[in-house]
Amino acid sequence: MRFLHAADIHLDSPLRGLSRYEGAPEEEIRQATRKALQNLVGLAIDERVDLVLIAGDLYDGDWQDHNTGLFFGVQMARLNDAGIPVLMIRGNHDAASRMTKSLRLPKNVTLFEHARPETVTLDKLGVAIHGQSFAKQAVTENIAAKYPAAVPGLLNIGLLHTSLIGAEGHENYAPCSTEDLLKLGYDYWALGHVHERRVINENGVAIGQPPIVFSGNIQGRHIRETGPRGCYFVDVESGQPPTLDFRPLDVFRWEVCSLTAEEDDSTDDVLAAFEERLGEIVDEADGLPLAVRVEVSGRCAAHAEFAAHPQQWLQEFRSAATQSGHGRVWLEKVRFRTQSPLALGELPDDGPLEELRGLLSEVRDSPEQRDQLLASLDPLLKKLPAELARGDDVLPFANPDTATDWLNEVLDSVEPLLVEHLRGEGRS
Amino acid sequence: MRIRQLNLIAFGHFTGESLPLNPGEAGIDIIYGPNEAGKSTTLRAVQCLLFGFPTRTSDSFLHANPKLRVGATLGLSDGSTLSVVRRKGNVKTLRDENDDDVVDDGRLAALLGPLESESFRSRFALDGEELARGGQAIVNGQGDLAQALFAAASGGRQLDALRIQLDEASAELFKERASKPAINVALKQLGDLKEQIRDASLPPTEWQQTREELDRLEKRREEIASELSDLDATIKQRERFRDALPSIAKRREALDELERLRDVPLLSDDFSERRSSALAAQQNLQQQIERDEAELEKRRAEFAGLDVSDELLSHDATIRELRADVRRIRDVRSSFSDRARQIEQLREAATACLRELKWTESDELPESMRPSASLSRRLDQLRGEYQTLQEKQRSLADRDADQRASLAQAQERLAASPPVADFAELKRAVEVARQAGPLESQRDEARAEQQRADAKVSSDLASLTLWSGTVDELERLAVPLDETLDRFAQEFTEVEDSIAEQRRELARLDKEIAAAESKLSRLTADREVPTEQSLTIARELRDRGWQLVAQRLSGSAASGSDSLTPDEAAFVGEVSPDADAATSRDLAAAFEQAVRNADEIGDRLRLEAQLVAEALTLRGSQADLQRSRETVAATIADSEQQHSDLTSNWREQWTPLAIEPLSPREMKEWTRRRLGLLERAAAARQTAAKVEQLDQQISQQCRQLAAALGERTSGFDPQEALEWVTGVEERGTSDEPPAGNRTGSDAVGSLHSTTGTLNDAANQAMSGTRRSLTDLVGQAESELAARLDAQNSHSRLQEAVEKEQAALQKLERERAATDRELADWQAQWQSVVEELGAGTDVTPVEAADRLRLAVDWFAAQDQIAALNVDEQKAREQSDAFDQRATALLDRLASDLLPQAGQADADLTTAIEELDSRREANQKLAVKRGEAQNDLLSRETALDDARRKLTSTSSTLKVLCDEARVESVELLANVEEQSRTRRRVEERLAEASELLTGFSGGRSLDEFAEAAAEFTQEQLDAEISERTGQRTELQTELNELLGRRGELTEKLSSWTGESVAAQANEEREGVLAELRGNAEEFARLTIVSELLKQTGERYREKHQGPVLGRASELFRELTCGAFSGIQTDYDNKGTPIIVGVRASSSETDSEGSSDRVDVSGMSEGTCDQLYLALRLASLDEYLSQHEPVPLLIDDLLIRFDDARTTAALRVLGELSKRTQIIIFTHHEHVLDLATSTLDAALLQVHRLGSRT
Repeated sequence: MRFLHAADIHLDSPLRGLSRYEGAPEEEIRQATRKALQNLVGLAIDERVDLVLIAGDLYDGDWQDHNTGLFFGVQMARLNDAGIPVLMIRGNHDAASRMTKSLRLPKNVTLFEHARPETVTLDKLGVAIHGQSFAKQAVTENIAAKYPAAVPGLLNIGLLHTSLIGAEGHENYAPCSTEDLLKLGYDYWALGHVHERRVINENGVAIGQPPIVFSGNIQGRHIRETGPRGCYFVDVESGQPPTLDFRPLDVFRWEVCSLTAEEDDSTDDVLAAFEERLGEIVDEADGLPLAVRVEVSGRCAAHAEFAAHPQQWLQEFRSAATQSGHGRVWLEKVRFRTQSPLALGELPDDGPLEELRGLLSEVRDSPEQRDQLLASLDPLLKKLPAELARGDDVLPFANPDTATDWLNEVLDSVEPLLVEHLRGEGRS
Repeated sequence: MRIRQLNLIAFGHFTGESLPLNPGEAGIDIIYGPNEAGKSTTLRAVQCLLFGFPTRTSDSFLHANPKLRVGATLGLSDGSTLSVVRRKGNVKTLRDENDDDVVDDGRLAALLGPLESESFRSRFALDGEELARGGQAIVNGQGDLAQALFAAASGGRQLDALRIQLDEASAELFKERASKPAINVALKQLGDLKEQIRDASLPPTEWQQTREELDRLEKRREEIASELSDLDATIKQRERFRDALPSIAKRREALDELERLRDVPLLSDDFSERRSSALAAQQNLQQQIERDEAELEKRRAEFAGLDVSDELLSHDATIRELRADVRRIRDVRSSFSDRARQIEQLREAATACLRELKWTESDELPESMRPSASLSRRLDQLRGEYQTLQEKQRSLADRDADQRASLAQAQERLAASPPVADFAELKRAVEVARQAGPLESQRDEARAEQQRADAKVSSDLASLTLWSGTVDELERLAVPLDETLDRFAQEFTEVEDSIAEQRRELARLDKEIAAAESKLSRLTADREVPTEQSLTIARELRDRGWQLVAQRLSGSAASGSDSLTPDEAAFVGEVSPDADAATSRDLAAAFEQAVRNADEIGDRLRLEAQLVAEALTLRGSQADLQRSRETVAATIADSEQQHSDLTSNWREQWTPLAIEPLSPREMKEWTRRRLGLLERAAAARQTAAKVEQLDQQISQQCRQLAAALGERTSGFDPQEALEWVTGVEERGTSDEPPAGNRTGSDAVGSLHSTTGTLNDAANQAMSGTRRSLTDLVGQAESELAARLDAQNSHSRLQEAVEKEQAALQKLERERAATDRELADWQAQWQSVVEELGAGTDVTPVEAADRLRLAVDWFAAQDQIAALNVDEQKAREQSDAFDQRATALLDRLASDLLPQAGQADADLTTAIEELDSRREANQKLAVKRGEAQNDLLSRETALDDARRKLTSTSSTLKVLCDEARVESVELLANVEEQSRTRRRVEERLAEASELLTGFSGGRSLDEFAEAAAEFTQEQLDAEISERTGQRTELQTELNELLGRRGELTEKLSSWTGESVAAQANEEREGVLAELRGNAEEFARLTIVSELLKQTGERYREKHQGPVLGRASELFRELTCGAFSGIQTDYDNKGTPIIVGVRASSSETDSEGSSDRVDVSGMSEGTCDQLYLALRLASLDEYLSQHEPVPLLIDDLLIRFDDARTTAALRVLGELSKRTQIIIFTHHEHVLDLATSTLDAALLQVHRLGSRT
């Protein structure tokens, strides 16, 4: 018996944080989640699996285009033609989706009830699948607790959308512990919701426990979802523990390129190191296009240049990425976290600069002055769309938690700029 | 810190340049030089000195980076000095005075306070350009105080310019009320995209509603379809009823009529026809029978009259057969006589044969004598063979005779030719001579070459200079190596070149010393040039005087005494050694004089500083030159010594050879020529050896040839040959070259020994001969040829004899064979003749004749026998015919038989008659047969007619039965009734068929019964009502189908396309871009704000101290046109600078009308305002830090003379606080400075003397 375990497809959810620019691989990110879903279906057909499990979050809850559902229906029809049953549950994201309710799916697709746990038995395969959909977005009771005990003589699989207990960075949805799950005596737990793929009880599996698995999402959508994404190809020989094989399905990858500059490194040195590291990242990406975030840190000679002209250096990094990434790399962002190689005491103490330093140090110490400075950004904030003014993608200066850090970074950049200007090297 | 001396050791185009600067604690150095003289280079040099060289420098074009050096002696504020040298590099670049040791950077850094290279340049380097820029910026900033102060403190950098850049950049990103900036554009795009997404999205509810409506429509469509189907059925039924009503009525009527006609037989359709045709046939048949019976009777009578002989008919074939034989029999009978004649002839011929054969034993030959066919063939063959053999025998006999004759001839010729003796030795000798080739000509060539070489060697030897002797001696000379010669040549050249060069240098130095001396003498011609030393002496003297005066004043010396102490006297004497005693007694006067002297020297030193410096420089360089000259002179002496050592060394090389050498180069040529000569001498010796070898070869060959000829040749006398050889030898001797020609060889010693060592006279003779060996070889060759010819002809003759003998033997063999063949033939012939029965002596021709006759006889006999057989057969045939004819005639026509007397009556004629009778009878028989056939057919026809009549009657009987009547006459009536019944039945069938079409499978009676329940009117009404209902339903269905089509199309148009998703992706991209831009905008805004605050704070802090000083400076710089600077506020409340006019400020210090905005000031005034602020700023710096020299480059170009003077005065004042170095290329600035500044404060340097 062989099946695919996937979750968190988030169909038609866009890739985030990719600002367009000349040379960026725009075509490659189009409909990435759709292509990833097509890959899932293609894999199932090619491998002639017996079953496909989708552990929730098929759509984004707030997405209201039924075309997305129709596309999903077309893909499920392909599996139907191939005679492959699909069993799925609704997660927090698609629980409330009208689309799920109105969509007519081919007969091979089974969507589990939300009122109580259900068991679907596939006699031909000798499999019993237990599952329950989310009724609403925030399901905070332990629904796993009511899952039925394993059906003797069959292969038992649990399908559950959950953050378990204490999954970092996730709401406490359908909380349950690994013990809760193990207690039921199933042979495999196909979990959804957590986007990072993981076998929860890897140690337990080694001693014969059933695997409890988050397959992760099938396509990374922003810089916090780095690395290959896909599904688990699970093979169960009768009486043997299941074997798990991760299969990437994504069509576009996200990677972070961290660079630590040495004290003597010039901007050119940093750029060269970047190109080298980027080459490695591209080589490791299975030939897929990439979105790369660059984080430059370290006390280095290049600091003043980067700090004074972050935008110009962003352009430099972008063209370097276009060059050495062979047009397959999208530079998501460049974060300059460098510091001046000179200790504070070493800096020459001169009239106007001294004044500036005094002011900067005051601002650093004074919340009032910081607020006053930040207040000068209010006209902009008022105009910005909600996504940027609050929520996950809030701008750093619009969020009280991050504003101070952001401001300190800005303060760091003023002195190099002024020093350069005083030397008469200012750029126009 | 002040720079006392700047040393441009290696910097830019400077090399070892030294700039002594004002040594005082106040003062301005003006460095004057035209463009390109190096003012700005000097400025950079100071910067490099103080802060180190930048990584990249433009000053390394002459001196490479590692060589770059700038040095200085610095006067420190504690009075000490620090001498350093700065090199280019990364670490340990500061070095001590002599560039030997590293000096701690900290010592210099301590003096520079907070300055680093750039801030030094921005603050302590000041030029006209900055001034103009600064002035303009104040105007541009509308007098913004903060800006002005900031700029003045940072060397004219505009904080605002940076802020403006930032603000411009941020304005490109976002403005609150605008549409173009990137963020504004993005916000608009976001709105648009949101709409696009909404438009492209398919709300799930819409999809669901559509789907549900479609389902409803489908259900209704099915209902309608079912209703319509029911309705259609009812309407159709009612319509059928309605349409069937007339047919039902017709059917009823027909059924009733049929009931009435129930008993009428239903006759077939052809009944009438059958009846009438039967009646007609009956009548016709009766008439025909009557006619035929009459005719038959008549024909029967005719038949009976025909008489035919059947006997004759039955023998028809026999008669015909005999008739056919008649002709043949007649021929047979006529052949009898011919045959008898033939036999007679044959018998006669046979008899003749016998006669010829001379056969007498009987009339005929016995059968045994019949010749066989094979015998005849063998006879012919043997006859042919016999002829051939005979001819062959004859021809062989002829050839045998010929052959024997020619053999005898050949043997005779061979006997005449003698055999040849052996000559192999001669052949070998000739071959050896040929292989050796033309030895004599080779020997002659070699000898000529030898002579030429000898001559050349002796002439070379004669022309070799420096040395005399033989070639052998020359060869043994130990000449120095080529390399040694080269080394000497090289060393000589080096030493001589160096001497020449140093002599040139010496000459140049002499010239320079002379020039310096004349210059110095010109300088010191008028008066003595003061020196620092003389000043020191004068000052010491003055100080001593002061001590003496002080002592006297304090009374510590001999108080009150007018007389001078010895010290005093000495002092007075020293002060004025030339003065008279009266004045010299006065200590005070002496002291005053000493003070004056010291001052005068000091003043002169200052006033004539240039002169002093020049003299100092000249003296210094004079001494340098002198030192250089001495060094050079010493070097020359060294080199000359080296040269003479080298020369003696050179001579020593040649002493063992007893040669007085020329220069190494010449001696090299000499050795080269010597080597050439030796090589040629060696070649000459080699040639002589070759000549000797050739001579030996020639003599040996001569001996061999002579021996070969002498021993082997008949007709060749060995003695004669020997004599001939000796003659050759004698002739050869005379060809020997005369000894006198060999003087050359003798001169160089034993060059060749060949000639001297010839021991054999004959050999010697032969070696000199040219023709002798050649002749000998020629003779030997011709002798050899003659012997070869003789040998060849003898061999040929021998071969001829052998050939003839062989031919004869062959002939004899052939003859024997022919005899054997003849014997064979004879044996065969014997057997043939025996078989022929002739005697053995018979010739083949006779035998052949006999054979032919025998054959002929037997042939005639055979023919006769054959003719007899034919005769027999003919008789038999004739008799047989007669027998058969007689028998036939006897039976059929005895009348034709010949009577008994007619013995030879020809039966053939009778047979012919019989045949003609048979023919006639035959014809009659045919006629009777025809008549009989006619009778038969007529009888048959009559019988037919009678049968048909009977059949017609029975047909009529059947018809009557069918019509159920007794008589034929009643038939017509029944026929009429039957037709009526049939018509009625047809009507019924018609009506039934129509009804069947309506009944829909039900029986007609049931249907008719059902229909009978309705009336026509009822049916019409119902049909009309139902049709109406149907139309309504159909309309509804059509509408429904239309709607269903719309909905289906709508649903199928929703294919799961990604338009909205793509717009959403695009929106995400715009959001990301917006995010980046928003962060950048925020950064720019914050930075700009911080810079603004920085400026404000700077103003607040420095406004007080700087503005006060700047106000004073401004007054001075404007020569009092403005009384100072005040602060004011513009309409935005920003503090600004205004000038206060001097005239008003005196009368009304409160009046605002006296204030002048910067916009109201002239360009020059603005420059001065900036300069005032700038200098005030510096002042502030200097009040807090160690002084640092201020470098000014062509600052005052835009100032008029008055204000330039004022500025110089201000700078003069400032120079008391820090060193000021002014670079200029304006002479008038120099003039103004000289006239304005106290001479003690000013020191002028001129750059550019290098050109």
